Amino acid sequence: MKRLFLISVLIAVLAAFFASANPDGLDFVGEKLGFSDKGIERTAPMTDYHIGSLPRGEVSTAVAGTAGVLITLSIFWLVAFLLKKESKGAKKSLVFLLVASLFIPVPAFAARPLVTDDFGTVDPGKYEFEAGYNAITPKTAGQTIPGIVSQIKRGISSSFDMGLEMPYTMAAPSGFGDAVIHAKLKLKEIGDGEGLSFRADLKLSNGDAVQGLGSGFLDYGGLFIFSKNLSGVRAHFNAGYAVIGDVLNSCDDDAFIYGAAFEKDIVDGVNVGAEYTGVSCRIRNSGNIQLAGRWQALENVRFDAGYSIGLTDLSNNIATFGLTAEF
Amino acid sequence: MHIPDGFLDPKISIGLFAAAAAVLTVCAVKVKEAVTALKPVRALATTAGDFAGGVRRVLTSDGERTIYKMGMVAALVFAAQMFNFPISQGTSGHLIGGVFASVVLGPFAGAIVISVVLAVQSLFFADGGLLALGANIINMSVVAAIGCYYIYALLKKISPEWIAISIAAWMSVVLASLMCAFEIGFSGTIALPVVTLAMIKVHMVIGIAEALITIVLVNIFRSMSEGDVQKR
Repeated sequence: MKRLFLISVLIAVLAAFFASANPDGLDFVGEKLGFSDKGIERTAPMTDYHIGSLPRGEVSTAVAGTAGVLITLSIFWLVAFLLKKESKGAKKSLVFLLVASLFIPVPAFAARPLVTDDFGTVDPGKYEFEAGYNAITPKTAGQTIPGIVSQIKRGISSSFDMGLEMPYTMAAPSGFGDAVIHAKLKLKEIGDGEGLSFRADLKLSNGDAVQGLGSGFLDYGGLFIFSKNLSGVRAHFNAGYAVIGDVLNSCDDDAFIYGAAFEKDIVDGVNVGAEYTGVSCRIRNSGNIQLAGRWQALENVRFDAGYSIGLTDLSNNIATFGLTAEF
Repeated sequence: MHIPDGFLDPKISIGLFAAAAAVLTVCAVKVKEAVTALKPVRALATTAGDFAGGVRRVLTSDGERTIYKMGMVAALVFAAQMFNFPISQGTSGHLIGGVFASVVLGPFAGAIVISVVLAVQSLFFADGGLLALGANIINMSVVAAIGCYYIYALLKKISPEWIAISIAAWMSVVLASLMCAFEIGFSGTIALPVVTLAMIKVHMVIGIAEALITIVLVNIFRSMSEGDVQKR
């Protein structure tokens, strides 16, 4: 087996020096028939088999190729390792995490009105419905855009739920924007409402892109969510990555998304929260601070309101109020 | 033959992604059955004093070796796919490796190996689209690895193995390119007959190299991995 490994590395290194630079079969056909320009250029850690920190050339490709050989091998080593652990009775969640991390998505609304998501999932067989009115004021333009966002979530199992989020813009032109599908899985529960979850999001391209209601592209991403009770204050931490389909998006690239939220019950049925959320990408870093309050009016209905302040020129000020109902 | 994002209609991409996920799930179940064995597990004595027993799938030592072998095949295919060889008219081709993987590992493990290679290429090297990954898996691991394994198995009964491998390898490239052309054609990116004809023409030549390389790789892999097994 060791010899086979060396042969793989040798082939990768030789390929770096001697492989033909001509387009392959599909690229050639694309160029000849004139549809190759429809291909979307993407970036990845080693785009075009090239290591960013090395000068572009054969050596860089040889290193990238060797790295690729090691990555492919180590995936199978990891699978063997996980199966061995599973044979001894370890949790399956690690295997799922490995697979899920390969197919990562775009965080949006979570437990209203906070944008930062929490660890919990909806109970199996139950529905949770959220609806809210948002007044969004971009800091560069003074005009406020009103809109409604609604989301319905259903618990599939005690540790898994799925949701569909539907935004509606009321400014001219008005209409439904791009819908987002969420799926959240509890990975590790450490206490009541405490633990680590993973959420996968897929933003569809159903919104009318010509009218500016949707991006016309699919986005997807993944978000890790960690919640912990810190002496009466519930803290939620989010970190994720979104792959944005529109290459000309406001980020000029894909985006890292992160957030931290803290909430506390002040009197029975009323809680207040504060959060910081941020988006970081190639040409843009934006952050928002939101202050919010929630009131549990009925056993299964909760009202909320919040105000979010944009910290950079490219972020928005958002006033919101809405309700959450469980049934 | 890695389709980038943008060539395919999103609806077709998502459909193929779902189809690829379904096929790979079946493959994963089959491979897991092959590398594990059911083992009775005696749980702790319950309060009543009797045993609450059950069975659990446990990785066998042969199974563990199979997974390492899959990793080795994946590494070889990844490296070999980097090696673009020139063919006529300023075009190049590269190995798909579907038939190589399924001949040495069987169709299900072979399909998983090629899919992992495609996922690594797409995620780490921007080679092939992310949304188009499903389409690429359908073309190169479902059509080329699983489909053409059965062509190989059929031909092996009536001809020497090297002929079976060559024909299956050649067919794998042509059929995968045909599938790829259909996906692009039905997405409305370009007229279906035009792209089909152009793709088949180029890949009939590339297929010859695939056949040659596959025979060499199968021989190298068999001699080296069998030598390794004997040593144990």
